[in-house]
Amino acid sequence: MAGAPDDEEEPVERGSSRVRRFARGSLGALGLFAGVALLATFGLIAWGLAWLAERGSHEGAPPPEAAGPAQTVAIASLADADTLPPSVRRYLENTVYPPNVGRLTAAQQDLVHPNRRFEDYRPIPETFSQNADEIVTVRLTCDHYYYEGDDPIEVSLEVLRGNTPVELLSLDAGATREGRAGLEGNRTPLRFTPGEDGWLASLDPTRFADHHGPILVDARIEYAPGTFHEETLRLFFTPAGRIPARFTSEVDDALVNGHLLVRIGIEVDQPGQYRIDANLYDRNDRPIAFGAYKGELSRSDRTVPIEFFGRLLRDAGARSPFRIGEIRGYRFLDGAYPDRERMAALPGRYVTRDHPLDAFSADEFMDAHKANMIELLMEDVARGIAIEAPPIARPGGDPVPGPAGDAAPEGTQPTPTPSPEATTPNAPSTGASASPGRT
Amino acid sequence: MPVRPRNRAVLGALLLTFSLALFSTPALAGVGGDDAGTCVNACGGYGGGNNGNSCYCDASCTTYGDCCADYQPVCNGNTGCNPNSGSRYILHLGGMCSQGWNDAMANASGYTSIDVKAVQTNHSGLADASHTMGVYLDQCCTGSNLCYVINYSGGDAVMGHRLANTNTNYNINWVGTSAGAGGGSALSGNLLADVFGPCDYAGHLGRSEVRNAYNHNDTNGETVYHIGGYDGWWYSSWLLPGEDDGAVAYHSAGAVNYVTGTSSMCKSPKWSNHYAAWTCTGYNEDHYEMKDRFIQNLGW
Repeated sequence: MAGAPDDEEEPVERGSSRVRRFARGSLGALGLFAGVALLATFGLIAWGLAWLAERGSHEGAPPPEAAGPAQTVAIASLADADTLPPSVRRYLENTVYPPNVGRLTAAQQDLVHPNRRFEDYRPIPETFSQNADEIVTVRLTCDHYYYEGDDPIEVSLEVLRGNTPVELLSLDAGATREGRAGLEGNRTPLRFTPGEDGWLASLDPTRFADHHGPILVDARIEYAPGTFHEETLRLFFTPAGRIPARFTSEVDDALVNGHLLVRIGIEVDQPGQYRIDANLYDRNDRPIAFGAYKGELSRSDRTVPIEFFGRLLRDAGARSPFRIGEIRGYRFLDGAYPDRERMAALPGRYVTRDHPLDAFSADEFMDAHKANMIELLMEDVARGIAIEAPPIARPGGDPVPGPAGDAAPEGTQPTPTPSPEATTPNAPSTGASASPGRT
Repeated sequence: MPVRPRNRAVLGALLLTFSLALFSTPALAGVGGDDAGTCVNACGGYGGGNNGNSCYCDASCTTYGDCCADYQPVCNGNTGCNPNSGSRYILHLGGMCSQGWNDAMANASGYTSIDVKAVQTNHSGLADASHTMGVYLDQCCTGSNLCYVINYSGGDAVMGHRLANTNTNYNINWVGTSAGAGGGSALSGNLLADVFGPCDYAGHLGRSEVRNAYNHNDTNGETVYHIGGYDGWWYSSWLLPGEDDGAVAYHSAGAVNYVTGTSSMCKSPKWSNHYAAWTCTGYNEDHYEMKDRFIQNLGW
């Protein structure tokens, strides 16, 4: 190991003796500035410890029905940011909201439109040329990545020379199950027919009802006399018999301790570790927040709680009633392959009750883990081994020291967004973007 | 009947040349070569995965010296970390087709560097390596321990997959990523997967597969910093949009939440909690050279 072992480091004591060591030894070494920083942070830590003593530890995932809102405090830490050591300040700046929840904008197409595909037109290497009109490109794709139950699987194939469709001389396509060891079973022929923008095929999922996992679609095309090219496409299929749970279409919400708690109805067939995702929009359908539940679900569970953090809703200026959409999830099979059983997504959006904006908490996130992290980072400061985060790059200038910098990259900060139009990024690539020669 | 005949002759020496250039770095950390097996779900017998018999996961493998690379962490829970001991660790998570870091590790005062033996070689490479990474994180980065994670290339996806699917709050201050493949690469996946062997996992890093493999916006509260290189190889500009390092384009290395051609690592929108570090321009280095860049920038 290249790292320096810390065998010679004096063991770090916990509790009041460690605080005394800070007071006796570290302040002098770090100088007046660091002393002020430490004192300010001690207050935070002391408060955190007192808070922990009062609330107790809540490590591990609570059962869904018992899952309360995230613990919050009227934290003064970031208000004292200038006095904090850089490593602690950066950590606090990055943890204003709890894990598993974040700001959602229209620019986050991967969340607003989940389960998208990203195939582009790809050049056939044998046709590489300085003349772009001679290059043959192929795009084999389908409408989703994940399919469940009897969802039809629509596959499309386009072949262009330059920008002109190529008339295929032959086309042989099929689909094959794929397991941990690779391809399995027989290849199911796939019949393409001419469509408006190329060739289209429909893959009957019932023919794969015995298979859970990836399916590999292959297409061998003859794009010039005697000249062939093969393209493949992978999708993921969860057959009806392996769908682990179902959403019931019942969604409820409540304001709990200054946060919006959304309870999504569910029927669980297979208990286990689940991940459930949802998006929150305001009354004008403006994207506001994404949230998730990660934890165990049992057959007796009837709802899944997703908490949308009050401070986030306030920062976004979100006006209710809210719309809850893109509700989706899967059972996570840690270490197995495939690693998940997908649920069918719940279509539509569900309207919440009215909640005035000022009813939501303005507090930053705090829990036992965060308090522990602050303590660990302060220990590193005291031991002289604190590691600062790398500077954040900014367009056209010097790196900024942290996320709070006023020139941090757009779209990355949990700040209010004026409107969807103002934040919509460049449109996702939809055309032949693999232009040869571009660097 | 094989669906994808390994018709290297068709693509010829041209593609073979850059196939070797891209993925020929040997996976030195374990037995079985580039396509080695894993002990995930295989403890007590042969290794698992599509080439599992190349190594073993039974107790005698240490005697014979033919253990799969991840035997100790997966079968014995031995990561080299001392749980809940007030220790400080920098975890190094390597890339696609690797079984470990296989390079110089950080040397930061007060911190111990850990080589994460996560096997990323099989069709199941992402699920396997993510599970193994979880073993490391559970031991190294909980309780009174504190961690930093440095990952490279496919390690970006492995770490992302783990963070998105765990509900354990790890004591990780931040994650540093060099040349991350979390956005997938057009060089992997369907067209060139066979050519790009030698490891089967290289065929599972297509953009649709990786971008749908986990919710990239959920880092479980961790902050992830990214750097990328633009010294792509001669062929990569034909196949990868925007700047690239020969294996991944900036939309992936820069954690952009959609596929685009860009010359800026600061291109937005990014996935939540992901940032470009140091420079928007990136580095005039190729995919291999980028591996140590994060560590070097930190003076480790």
